[in-house]
Amino acid sequence: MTASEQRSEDRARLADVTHVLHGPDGSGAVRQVLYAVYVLAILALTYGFTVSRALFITSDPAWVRDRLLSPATGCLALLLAAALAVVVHGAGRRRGPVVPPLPWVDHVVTGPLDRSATLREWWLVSATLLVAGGTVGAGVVGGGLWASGSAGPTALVVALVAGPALGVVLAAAWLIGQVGAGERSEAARAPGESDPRGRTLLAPPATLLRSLGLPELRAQSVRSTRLGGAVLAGDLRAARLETATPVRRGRTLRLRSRGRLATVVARDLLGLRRQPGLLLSGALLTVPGAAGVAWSLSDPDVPVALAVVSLMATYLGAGVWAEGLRLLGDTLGTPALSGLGLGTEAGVHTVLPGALLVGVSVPVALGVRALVPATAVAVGALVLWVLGLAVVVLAAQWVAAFRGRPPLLAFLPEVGPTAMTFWFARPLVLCALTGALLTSRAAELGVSATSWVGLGVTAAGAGLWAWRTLRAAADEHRV
Amino acid sequence: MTTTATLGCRVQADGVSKVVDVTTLLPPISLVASAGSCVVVRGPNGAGKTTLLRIVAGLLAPTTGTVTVDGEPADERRRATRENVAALIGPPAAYRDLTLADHLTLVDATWGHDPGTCADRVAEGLVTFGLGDLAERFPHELSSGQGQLFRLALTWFRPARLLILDEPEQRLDTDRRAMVGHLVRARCEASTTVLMACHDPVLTASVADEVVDVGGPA
Repeated sequence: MTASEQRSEDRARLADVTHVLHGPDGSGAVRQVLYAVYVLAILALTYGFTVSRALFITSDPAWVRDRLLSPATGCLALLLAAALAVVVHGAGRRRGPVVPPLPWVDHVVTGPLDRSATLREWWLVSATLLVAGGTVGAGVVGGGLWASGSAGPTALVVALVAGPALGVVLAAAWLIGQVGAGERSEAARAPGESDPRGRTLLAPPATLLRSLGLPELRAQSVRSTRLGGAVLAGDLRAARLETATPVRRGRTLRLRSRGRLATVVARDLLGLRRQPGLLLSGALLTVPGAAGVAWSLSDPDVPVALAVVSLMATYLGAGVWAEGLRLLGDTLGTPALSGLGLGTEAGVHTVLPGALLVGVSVPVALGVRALVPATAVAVGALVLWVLGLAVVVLAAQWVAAFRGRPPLLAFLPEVGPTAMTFWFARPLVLCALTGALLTSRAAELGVSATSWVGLGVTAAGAGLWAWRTLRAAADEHRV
Repeated sequence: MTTTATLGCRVQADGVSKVVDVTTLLPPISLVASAGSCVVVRGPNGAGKTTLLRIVAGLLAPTTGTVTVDGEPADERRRATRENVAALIGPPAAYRDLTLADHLTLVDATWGHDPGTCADRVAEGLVTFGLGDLAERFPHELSSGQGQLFRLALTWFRPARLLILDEPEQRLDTDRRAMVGHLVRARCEASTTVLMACHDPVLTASVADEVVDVGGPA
């Protein structure tokens, strides 16, 4: 049988399988994705474009044109795209773009049919979503820039080329990451089998799909199902465990007893030494976040949106460093092993992320201030402001770690996804909005006494909110 | 193996039950465990054994009745309950970035024990449960039986006057079950009170001073 005849027979047999499972109309997955893209495009045109345009207008088009649309910003965007590709590649090792349901993997993919044919549908769904998402997202930004007068029509053209291109690159990186998860060592490969590490972005998707091994497909399918269940149930511990890569590094490093409190701090430090990726990714979020906050405080012309995004990045970066705090939150409701009280232990688990946050934010903020010409903000005021915001960010980490179970609303079909999203994002949104508004207002007023009172009240309120959340979570399970 | 030399707790449950909505998780039951004794709770699946243990551990509030530990209400929010009660009821949340030895070190340190001799206690704690060679493994690298032994080692390692175990024999082979029996008896002889649910008649016979049936005979 020739290769062409083999492909024809595979297609016919796969069509039979699809007919048995889904009837004459097939699974309809690709059609559903195309419909989702259609809805996404309409929403982007009606709401996304309007919001984007309004955002750039309120941010002062001249400021956006002079400060944001520069070669340096273009280089930064390329760096961010490259970083995103690296992140997506890593995500592919845990949950790639090709994740069929387990029965399909066990009963169809295991058969003699060409594996690229049996997996093509899932690859097309993921790739289409990424390319369409990139196109729509970039189109919204480019269109907003053009319509607000911040840039010419070239911005829209560039965005409509760059968006789908980014989607293609991300889809390829995601798939290559998934293939890499199942790579076997040289010793384990069959004689004559090529080295899978040689695969590049130029390899055709069909070749990569044929490289996907059954064990990894099964593992990712099971993981995907568990992850979906964890997200729907608001079980953040399970979701984290499913997405996290198992730790195997630094096995010979030992935790030494250094007293009741210092050992807990040493535990958190050891966790970061065994997962240096967490240390790095936390810094990659916190450094630009602190820079944005310092820029917002030093220059009253900076739009408040930049301060919001910067505080979001700072919050997320501190969250990456606060794994010990999250793990403590996970233990609520289980019999105590630790000899420390809950509040004490939570406080000690805050030491390391707090020290890292301050240690990174203060030098970055001082560096940014030095670059802003004729700023009215004194060095001491800037440092104190950064410390005050650090308190707000750390309090939000407590709220995130001890938020407990989602509200009953999150399980109602009508409002469930919205309620679950709000429940999950509440500490992030409140931290970013209050911090950004305070910072922008302080920049306008020149960091006056009113600003300090606002920051002090906010920090105290955030601390009280964190403490009450901790106590409520400690009592919640005992019903 | 480090054990506490202080007198074990006296546990008293009077008419304890748990009802959620219209579902009865635990019918009313009473029991007394004197200091240094081992009381085994038996019953078919779903009889309410784990619910009873959770109530005695202070993790769950009873619908009716009372549970006292040394005359004080069992409530894990109370400092005395947390100090006195060690419990293995479901898997404890382990740190995925700590090895087995690190886990025991952390527990040891938080109870304020001498840092200078911590390594010796940790080594002994692991060896006692046959985990000496696995000190540098992470919890996710253990088999299910080894995982159960690690959970037992963690529970055993913290100081306690009342030890609560929910089916400690699960996932263990015959030899390991016998080992757990010896360790339970040793804890009782060291005055620790033990309350455990168990489905293994051999283990029950080897450790129980008293057997309490929940929801009918096992």
